[in-house]
Amino acid sequence: MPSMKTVKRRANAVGAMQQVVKAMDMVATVKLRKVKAQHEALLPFTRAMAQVIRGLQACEGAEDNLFLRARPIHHTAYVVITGDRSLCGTYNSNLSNEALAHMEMGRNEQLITVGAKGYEFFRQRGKNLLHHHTKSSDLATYEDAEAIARLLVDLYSAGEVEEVYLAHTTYQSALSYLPQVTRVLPIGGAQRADAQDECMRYEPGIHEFLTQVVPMYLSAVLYGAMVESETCEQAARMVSMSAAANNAEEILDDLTLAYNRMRQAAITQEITEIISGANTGRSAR
Amino acid sequence: MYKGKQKLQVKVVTPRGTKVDERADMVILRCTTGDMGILPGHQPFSMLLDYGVLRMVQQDRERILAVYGGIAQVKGDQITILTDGADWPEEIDPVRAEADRSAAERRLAESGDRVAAQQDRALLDRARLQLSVRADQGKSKG
Repeated sequence: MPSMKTVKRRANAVGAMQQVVKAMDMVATVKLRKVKAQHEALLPFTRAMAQVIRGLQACEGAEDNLFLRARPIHHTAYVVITGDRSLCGTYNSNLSNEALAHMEMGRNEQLITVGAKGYEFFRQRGKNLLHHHTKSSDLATYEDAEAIARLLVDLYSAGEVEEVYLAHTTYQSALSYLPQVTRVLPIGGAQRADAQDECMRYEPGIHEFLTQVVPMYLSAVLYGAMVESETCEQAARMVSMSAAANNAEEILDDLTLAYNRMRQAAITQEITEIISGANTGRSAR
Repeated sequence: MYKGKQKLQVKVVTPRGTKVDERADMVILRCTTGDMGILPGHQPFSMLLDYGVLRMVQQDRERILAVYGGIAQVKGDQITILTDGADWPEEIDPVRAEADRSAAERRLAESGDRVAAQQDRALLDRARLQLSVRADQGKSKG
């Protein structure tokens, strides 16, 4: 049986841990609010951008553009978005496993990782890591997305990769997040048949236009994915940290109860000893 | 000058939010092919934008906005500009722009990395535009 001193020490340790966990929960809450605001600010841009891309796809001559046309596939680039830190439940491992499963379906992968956790995961498995992007600040910025988009466009136009997949986490609700792998290049989903709105005029020309628009589109898609993934990460961290705080509370209750019982037992024993001591003293007299 | 009843609905959308959503009589854009003025009722049209100022003429005043590249689409009386960034002249910090310019110039002179060079060139273009917008503003005030 542990001594009173050990129980007291354990209770103190759990108390300290609970404080840390609560602080992390609070930090995650603040960050979650920030990334949600970022996500909302981006929405009009992505919507307008999707419309522009749809308009372009409807145009004659667009289908043989490099970014819209499918080519025979030899190499596939993956952009894997994970967090830099753990303590957020299964967020990082779910995404990494989903991406890994996708790659093992016979793809010749080249990896671009965002976030230290994904980088570690694929480095340990000896995957072909092309580039690791370190975010310039704690939360994703549009500049981060732009840098990756430039790299992707460079690789894609040089013919080093023929398709690009994005592994990210989508936000379903505060408690459920879905790791997903989606194709971003070549841009698919062209519906030439039912495109009723006729092609508008593009200045200087549709191909020059696409050359400028595609990097912007990619940046927007990447930034959106980064922000959404971060939303999931912070939400997951909040959930697991508040669960940890609750668990600490339970342990603390148990320990306090145990400590009080022991203290009570010790007092009772002391009293018994005093009384029996007094009794023997009296009978001896 | 155009004095019709119709107005243009001007929208400038950036990844950080909608910057402008206003009505104007005319806008003048800096396209890659040169400056272009848009009046209400223009035919559907898409164009590439250069780093430059967007001028919005509203009744008797003119407002300017520094726009860092992107695209513009005209549809009916709507003009939508999608850009990586846009700033009102008063939002530009000339000290920071000057620092950005010299840093980008220095890096471009010594670097060999293609992707980084693209980034620095964009930064340089942006800083140059910011400085010229500030300089113009100083002149019009003084």
